[in-house]
Amino acid sequence: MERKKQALLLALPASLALLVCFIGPMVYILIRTLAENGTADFAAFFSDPFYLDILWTTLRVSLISTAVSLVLGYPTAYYMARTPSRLKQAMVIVILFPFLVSAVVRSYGWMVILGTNGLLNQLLMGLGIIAEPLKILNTEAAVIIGMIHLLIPYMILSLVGVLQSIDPNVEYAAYSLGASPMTTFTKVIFPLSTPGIISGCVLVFTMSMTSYVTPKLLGGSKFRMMATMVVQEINVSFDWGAASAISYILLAVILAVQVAVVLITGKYMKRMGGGKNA
Amino acid sequence: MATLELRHLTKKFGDFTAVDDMDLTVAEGEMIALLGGSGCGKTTTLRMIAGFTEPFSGAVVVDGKDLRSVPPYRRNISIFFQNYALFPHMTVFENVAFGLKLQKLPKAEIRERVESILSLVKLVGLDRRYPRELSGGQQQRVALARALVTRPAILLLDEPLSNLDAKLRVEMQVEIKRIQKELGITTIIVTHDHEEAVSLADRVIVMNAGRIQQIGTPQEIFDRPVSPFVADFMGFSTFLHGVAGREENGLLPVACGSRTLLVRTDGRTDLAPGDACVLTIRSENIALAQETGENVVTGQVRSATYKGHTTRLEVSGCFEEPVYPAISEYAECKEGDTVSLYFPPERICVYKSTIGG
Amino acid sequence: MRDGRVNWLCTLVAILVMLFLIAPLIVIVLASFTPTALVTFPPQGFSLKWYANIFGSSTHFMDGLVKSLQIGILATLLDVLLGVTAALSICRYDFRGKNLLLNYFTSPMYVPSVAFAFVLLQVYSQLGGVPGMARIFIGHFIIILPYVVRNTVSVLHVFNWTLEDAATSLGANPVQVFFKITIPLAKPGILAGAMLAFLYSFDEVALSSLLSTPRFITLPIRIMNYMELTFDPTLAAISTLLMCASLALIVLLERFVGLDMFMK
Repeated sequence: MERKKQALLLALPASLALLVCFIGPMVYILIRTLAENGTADFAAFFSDPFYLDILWTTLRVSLISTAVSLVLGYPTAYYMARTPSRLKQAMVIVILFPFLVSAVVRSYGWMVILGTNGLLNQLLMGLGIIAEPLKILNTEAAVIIGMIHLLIPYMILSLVGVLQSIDPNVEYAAYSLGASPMTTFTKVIFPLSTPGIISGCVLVFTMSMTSYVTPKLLGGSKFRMMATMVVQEINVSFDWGAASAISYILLAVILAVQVAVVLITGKYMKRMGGGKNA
Repeated sequence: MATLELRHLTKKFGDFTAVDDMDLTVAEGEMIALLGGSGCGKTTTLRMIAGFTEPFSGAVVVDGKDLRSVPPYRRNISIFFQNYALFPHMTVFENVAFGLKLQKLPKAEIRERVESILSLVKLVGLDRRYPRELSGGQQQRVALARALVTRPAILLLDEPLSNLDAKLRVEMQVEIKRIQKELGITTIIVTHDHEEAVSLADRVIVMNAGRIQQIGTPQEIFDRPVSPFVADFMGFSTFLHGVAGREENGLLPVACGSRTLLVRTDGRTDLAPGDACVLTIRSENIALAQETGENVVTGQVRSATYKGHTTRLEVSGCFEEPVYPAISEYAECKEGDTVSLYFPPERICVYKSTIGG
Repeated sequence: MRDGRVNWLCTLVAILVMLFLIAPLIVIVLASFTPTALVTFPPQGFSLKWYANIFGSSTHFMDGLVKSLQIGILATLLDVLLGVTAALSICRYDFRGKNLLLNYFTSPMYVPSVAFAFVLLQVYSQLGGVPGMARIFIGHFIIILPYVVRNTVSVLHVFNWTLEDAATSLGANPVQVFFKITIPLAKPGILAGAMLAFLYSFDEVALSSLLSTPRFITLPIRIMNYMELTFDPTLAAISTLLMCASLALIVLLERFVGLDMFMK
């Protein structure tokens, strides 16, 4: 009893702060939006192809970024997990460093590279591969490149954590039972690393769904994703109803993804976890 | 140095009674072992003495003073933890000096006391190491030094030897005993290992399901367990069911199947003729017999397991239950041999059968 | 040999990913020293004029830096207090619903910061007269709280609570136990969490851009505003300086905490 009281006391400051400054306002504004306009703003969103297209673009960019991050991140993480610790230390720094550099700075770097007069076009034209500068900046491709650059460290770090914790003897056991390296990978390593894959993918997907800086800087004024659209509705169109609808729909999509992942993988992960701790 | 008394100490977790009405008096400088399996309440008792857990009812009394309202950090009771609980962010010196610094003793005195205790546990020269840089045995000595340096009224040892290998364990048993006697600290040691209990303690307390089963000197408990449970816990493995006869000349005949064993009871038995009873005897007390006679039975060796000092046999055919003698003559017994076994009457313990027992 | 091939492929991908991650950052550093407004490669000379430009009054970068530091430091300090107590409440005691409580403490992570910013914007417009610093501060201290909680929990989760009992039995009262045992041992998690939280606040754009007032604008917003008007290597220069700060942080972090903290 005494301990429970202590626990509650310790939990109180943060709980109150979150309640007053976060949960309270989030719920209050949702209720107010619904009370004032009913579901009109939400209905408007789903009946307007313009908005639906933005939702689709956001999903598409996020899915592609997540998939590419996984495909490139997995071998990198695997290599890191298998590498002697000094080299690994260096690689961790190479990965953590961009991770700690602001999205604005990193997007700026890509603007210098991908712009019409940028380094990539200078290089390709200098080599005579192309005659006209490629238009990459201010396209979806630029956003995806920037997004992968922004988020692949998250993917790699969640994968390295899991791959590292796989007992190397498990792999040797598979070899000793006659499994080839490829079979060992597909039947042992890959399944054991699914928790890291799932958490990495969810993380990268949600972060790219909500990203603001990268689409704004690399996508140009005509490229819109959900987050940039919210700001545009507020600052340019002054349509707060639409901004509200987009905000809450974005929130709903993200929560739905999280819940779905928990529901689908929950049981499986729990059983895996039981085996892994041993 | 102090006396310790537990008065009707009881602890409940919901419906579960972990410690049930425990009474105990420990004399100054005495070393007591609480012996029992997991969940028997021995660790809960320890935690109540230390003050980490509040009793449901009853009292912990040190030197006549009830500790109910004394918080654990003012009790002057040191604990040695099973996993040592050394502070990983402090050196050996800092770990040992921790309690003394809290007492705000002068620096010079702290240094002097830490150094003298480190030499007592034979750790001189390691004071600047961190716990992770020490071996298991060294870590254990640090933990012991840390618990002792504050000159506690009472020292509690929680499974002190369970994490050590066999050789180190014997060494530390001697060491702990030596230091405890040298400092004369009232000590309670909690363990599940009967060998550890009997080799360390002045008195052993066997616990089961929150209750004290037996209190006695190691000798008493090892030779005369009060119940089949205690016998089983002390490593007795041969248990025979039988029916008591009438005691004559201090010897009680007990019919076990078609055989009869004589048990020396010297009038101390509460068994009436015809009572169902249980006999038990320690493996080492069963001897090979060269000729037939009283208390000699024959059977076949089912298995022989070499244990180093002795060979442990499983012999069937004597009684309904198998018997497990431990003998020193290895060469003479193989699987399938027929052997004659002698059960010395004064070594057999007899108990009234409990229902279903 | 198949084994060789798998490793060869992994190595190649790993090298390419490392290059991909580092390339834009190297480009920025090189660009900051070019004398021309258009970044060319190879650079035609060497110049520090863009660095001098940072401190020019027209960029307002210094003003932004001060504001960002104010917000970041204050929000981080407050969150270390809130986050560490919250993490302790979850890890120190066993009670039903502790996972729920952890989710509650980290819930700001699951909400898009633009959505939260817009909600705050509406609340502020109803309240009226909320000063610029408070507008941004409230948003920041909420969204960075999960970083402190999560990193502290990850340390306390494997914490050996017997150490607290050991200290108590040696005469330490609860306050002494907390400051001599619990806090020193949880320090790596707290430091890592505080560092990440501070950086998040320092680099935050979406929330700050919606909530800033003309008199209170943080550095990232200043940089983005500058970028819209002038696209010259002044941006590369300020970016380089920010990267140097990040590099310093990573070195400090490695020294005091170790980088393994981030692979959990």
